[in-house]
Amino acid sequence: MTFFVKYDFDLACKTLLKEHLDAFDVTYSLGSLGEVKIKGGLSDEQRNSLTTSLKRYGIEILDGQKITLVERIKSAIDELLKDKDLKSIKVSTYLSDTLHYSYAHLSSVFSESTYTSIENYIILRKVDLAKELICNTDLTLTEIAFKLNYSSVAHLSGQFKKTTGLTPSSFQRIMSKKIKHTVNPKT
Amino acid sequence: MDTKLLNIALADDDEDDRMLFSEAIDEIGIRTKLSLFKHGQELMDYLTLPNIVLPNLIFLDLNMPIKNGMQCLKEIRQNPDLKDLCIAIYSTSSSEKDVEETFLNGANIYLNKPNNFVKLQASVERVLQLNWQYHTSNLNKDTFLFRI
Amino acid sequence: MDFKRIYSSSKTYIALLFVAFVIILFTASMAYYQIMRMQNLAEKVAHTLQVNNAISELSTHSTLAESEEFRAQIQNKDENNTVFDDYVKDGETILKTLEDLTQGNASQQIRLAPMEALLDTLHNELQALAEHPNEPLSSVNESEKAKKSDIDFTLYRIRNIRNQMLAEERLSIKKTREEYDANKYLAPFTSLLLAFFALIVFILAFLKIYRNKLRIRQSENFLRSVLATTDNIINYYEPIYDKQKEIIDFEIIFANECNRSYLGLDPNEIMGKPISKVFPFLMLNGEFQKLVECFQQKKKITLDREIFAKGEKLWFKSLLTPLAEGIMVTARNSTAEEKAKEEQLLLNQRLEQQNLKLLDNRAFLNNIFRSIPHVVMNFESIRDNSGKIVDFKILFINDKISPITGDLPEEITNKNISEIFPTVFESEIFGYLKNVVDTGEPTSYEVPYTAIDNNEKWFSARAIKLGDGITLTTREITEEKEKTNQLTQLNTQLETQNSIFADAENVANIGSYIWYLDNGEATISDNFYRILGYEPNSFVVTFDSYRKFVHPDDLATYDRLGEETVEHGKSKVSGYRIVTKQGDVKHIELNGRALIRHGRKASVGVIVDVTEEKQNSDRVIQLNQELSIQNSILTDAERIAKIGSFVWYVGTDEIEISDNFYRMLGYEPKGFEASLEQFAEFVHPEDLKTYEHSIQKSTKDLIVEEHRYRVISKSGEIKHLKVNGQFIHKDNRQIMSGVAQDISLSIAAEEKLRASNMELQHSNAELESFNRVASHDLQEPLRKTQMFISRIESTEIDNLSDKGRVYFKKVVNAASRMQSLVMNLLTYSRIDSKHEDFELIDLNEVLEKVKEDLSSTIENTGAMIKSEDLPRLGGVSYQLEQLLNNLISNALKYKVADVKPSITIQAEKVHSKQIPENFFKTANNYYKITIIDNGIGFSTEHSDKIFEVFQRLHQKSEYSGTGIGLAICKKIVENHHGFIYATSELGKGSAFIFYLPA
Repeated sequence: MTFFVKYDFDLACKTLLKEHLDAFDVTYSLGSLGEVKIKGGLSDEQRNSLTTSLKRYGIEILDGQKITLVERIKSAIDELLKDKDLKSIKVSTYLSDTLHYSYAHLSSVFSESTYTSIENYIILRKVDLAKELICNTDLTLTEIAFKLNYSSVAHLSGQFKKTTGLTPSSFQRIMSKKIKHTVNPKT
Repeated sequence: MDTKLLNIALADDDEDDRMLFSEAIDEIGIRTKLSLFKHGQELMDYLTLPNIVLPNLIFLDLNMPIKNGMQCLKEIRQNPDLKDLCIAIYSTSSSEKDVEETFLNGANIYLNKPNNFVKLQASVERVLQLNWQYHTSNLNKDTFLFRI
Repeated sequence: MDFKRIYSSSKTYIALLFVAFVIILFTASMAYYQIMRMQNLAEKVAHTLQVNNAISELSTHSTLAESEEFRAQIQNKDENNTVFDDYVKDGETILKTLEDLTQGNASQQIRLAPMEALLDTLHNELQALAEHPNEPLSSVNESEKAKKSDIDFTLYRIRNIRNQMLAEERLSIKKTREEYDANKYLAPFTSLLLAFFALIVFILAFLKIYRNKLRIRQSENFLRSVLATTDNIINYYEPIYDKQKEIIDFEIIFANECNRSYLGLDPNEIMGKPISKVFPFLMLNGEFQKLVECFQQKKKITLDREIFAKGEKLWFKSLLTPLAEGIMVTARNSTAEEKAKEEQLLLNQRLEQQNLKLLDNRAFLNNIFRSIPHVVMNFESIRDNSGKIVDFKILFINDKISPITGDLPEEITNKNISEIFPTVFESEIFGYLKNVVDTGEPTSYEVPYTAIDNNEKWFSARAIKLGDGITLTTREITEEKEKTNQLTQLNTQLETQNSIFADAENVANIGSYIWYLDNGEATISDNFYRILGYEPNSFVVTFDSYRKFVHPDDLATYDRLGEETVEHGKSKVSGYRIVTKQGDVKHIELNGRALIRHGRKASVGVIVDVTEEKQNSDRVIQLNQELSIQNSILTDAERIAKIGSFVWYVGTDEIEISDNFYRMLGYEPKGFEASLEQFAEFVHPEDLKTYEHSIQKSTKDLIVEEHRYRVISKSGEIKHLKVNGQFIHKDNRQIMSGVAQDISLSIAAEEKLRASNMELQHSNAELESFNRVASHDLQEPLRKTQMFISRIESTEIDNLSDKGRVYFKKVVNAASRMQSLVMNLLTYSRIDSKHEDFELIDLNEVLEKVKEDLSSTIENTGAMIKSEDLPRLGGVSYQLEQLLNNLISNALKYKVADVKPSITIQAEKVHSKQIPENFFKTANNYYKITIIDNGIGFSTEHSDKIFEVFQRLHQKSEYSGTGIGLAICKKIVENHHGFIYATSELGKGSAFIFYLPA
């Protein structure tokens, strides 16, 4: 049998983190951007065991300030894309307000660490969201375009095509075929 | 990333293409370790060796002797140890049929062999970037499909 | 607990009574006991008193005896002895009495025992004293003194015993007293109490019993009234036993009033009598045993029988119920019911008989219906709410309907006529039927009906009202009708024929006549008049008056005609000439015969004006010639169509073949003796089997299937023949006539077609392999060339000389041109006509994509692209994209230098008939898309050429291009079952128009 699930990545990770942190006798709080604050900190032993247990789930404790910052930028962008009310806000303003760094600094740190600009990352992320919406919902392209704050379907289609090399419709076609293909690889 | 070496594998039967590819990789400012294979079988033999460091990214030519790219792709996707590898098809063919078939069989990226070295560099860099983003960011790997 | 039950139960009272009785018994016994005790006590007291008395007497006696002795001693008298003896006797008596008294008391007896001895001792001592009165005093005194003390001692002992006994008796008295005291109060009190209690219980019980008795009396009265008023006989019997305790009879203890009403017996009289006297029938038929059984086994028994009483038969249903010491018999008079039952039975039988009779009648009727040729139907009206007849229900229909409608009577009975005759409302019949029901007037009508065998039949129907319905009798009158029709037709035909005859006479120059031979009277037809040059009926014709028209030269002939006809009824004369009023000579031929008309001999005949015919004989010859020409034309046609016809007399060797068939076999017509055997020699040896088989098969099935075989003609040429034919029955012979066509040429053409098809498939495969070659193998080296070019360009270009750089530039251009050529060719060849990917496509979206793809060019040239709202239509997405892309990029490419390109895209829906352009139209409606530019245009003469592959109108250096773009467009449009063309004038821009099915 093959079946499909839809999951809330964020919720899943947070639940997992909570479960593992609860195993240690520490007081902690989870921030919104993948940030974990632990009162009093962890001993080396605790830290290592947490690292190994979380690694199984693909969760890594990040070292280094830059990487942490990059991750926080990414998380902030994810939040921004998720939250409709923030649509009208300018990304640079939003990021610098949220992370308390100048946008120039954030931008340079980001590019340095990821070989991509924040803008490109946002596009990639938006396209990724569009992909998800195309696959997992019955929303039309127009609705998706509106949801992701594109000025028009053409704009979305253009950016989609430019980013993925595929048009949204051919992507959709391939994905639906791929699902069938996965269910029954012989066809 | 700046501390780690990016492990890349390329399976292509054309010697010139292998050369051009490695030159292109060398000239991109990303620290990489490139393994080259003359055909699909050679790649598969390597991937199934015990205790090797698996590549982060595999470039697969479709048209190869002994074992072609499509066969490799299928084998990799059916192998539980390898199925999560990022695979970029690297082929001359621009036929829609080939593109679709490779996507259906689990390829992540379809890269047409460019006819220009600069384009090749740009393309390879873009592939590495995408791979990196998918590797480090919260992106949905199920919909990791790109055509370059 | 249910106190009420206990309180009201007579058992309780019986128990109470019993208790009271016991208590009384107890009280009585107690009283008796007390009295006895008292008596005892009293006796005891008396006894004690007696004992006391005796003791006292005894003691007194002893004392008296002593004192007497002493007195006697003193007096010295002997006579005293007698007194003393009395005393002794008295003492013995007293002692005896005392002994008797103390008989029951052991202790007193014991005490009394020594008494006798003591008394004896006393008496003896006293005796002794008395015998010695004379003895010296001294001596006497001495012995006297001893004797006296002995007596004293004895007396003392007696007294002592007496005292003891008295004390004992006193004690006894005291004891008795105590006992009496104890019983004195108790006995009367308890007796009194108990007596009271018993009394109360008795009163209560009595009250209760009295009340019960009252109630029983009430219910008895009630029962009596019930028994009196019920209409059932209720009797109560008690058994009478013989000496052997066998039940021999029952005594009637009770009988109610019903005995009188039903049986005429006075209940008061019969009560107390045995049933054997009163109801002798009860002793019969084992009923007495039933009564006994009921009584002995205490079970209910029901009897149901007829008895004879008061001189009539009565049915009684008796219920025997055991009750107390007898049985109760409840008998219900069921005579009425039984009678009703009997009557019912009788009625049923009668009904059955009637039914049978009805069935007979029905069968009879059915037989009638079956034997008559009429369709008999009975309909019931079906009315709507307003009482209007809307339909009829078929209640009955006989089986004569079956051959007409194909329905079985059972199937259509109870159905509505509208179901069976759906057209009933369309014809007037429904109106007729309705009218019959409404007015009650019978109606007849005739109606045609298309029967099940698809023949139209005529029916005459008669409808008569029956109840709220109709009986419809229908008779088939098709034949009559047909006959009538035939007659009518015949009449009309005759009329027509007459008129035709008249016309024909006119046209054919024929006249007819009737000539009465007796007096020469004659009538001639109108045309005869005309032939004679007169108006019809313009003169009276007789043999003689007609004679003046006869040509003078033929008068002899005419007269002979008259003579012969009169004599023999006919004449050998067949013609003569006449001279008309106008003086024309006409040749007349005649044919007549004799008959009797209106009882008169007459000759009836026809004359023909053959003047013209005689003149026309030349023309007939000419016509013959024409026919033979036509025949030869037919023969030629056979020859040209390569058809030969044949006739085969089935089962024989005899065949006839047409001239052309001979020719087809390489012979002159009739060039050989045609026979089946002979013909078989022409058949190709390889096909001989097929040939013979087809002959056999068609002879057997009498159907000729188209078949083919080869023949070898005289000249050795192999010819393919396609043969078809049919069987005809002619002159009692089975004939197969058919046609054979030489199809050698078309077979050759077919083979050619197959070959070219094969070739096409081959070339298709080649094309496919070309595709593969082009897409990969051809591109591979080219791509690599370009790759290395780009390497040189970026790293080595500076090392080249100026000339080298120029050459290199050319290499670059050539390579890129080569690439676009290959790409375009590939695109062109990939546009196949497979339709599997057709989907609904919005051309607006396609245009958007194209504009985006070309955005850099559009920006660079500053082009303006205006478009109307474009339609959605079925197509292949990427092909339509390619189409618009090619057309728009062409418009951008072939722009007038220094002029900003302006492109207008229009769309309109048109009907296929409105499209002037000539192409094969598969759809009713098309979208007409027009792309107008302001470019350089082209001269109209090239408008077809531009859509061909590799047709370029310009130098490569002027405008880049591979010359495939528009060819691709054309192929795409054609692949979509559309049409593309272009109009332009040099320097005035161009318009590319394509139609796609809507």
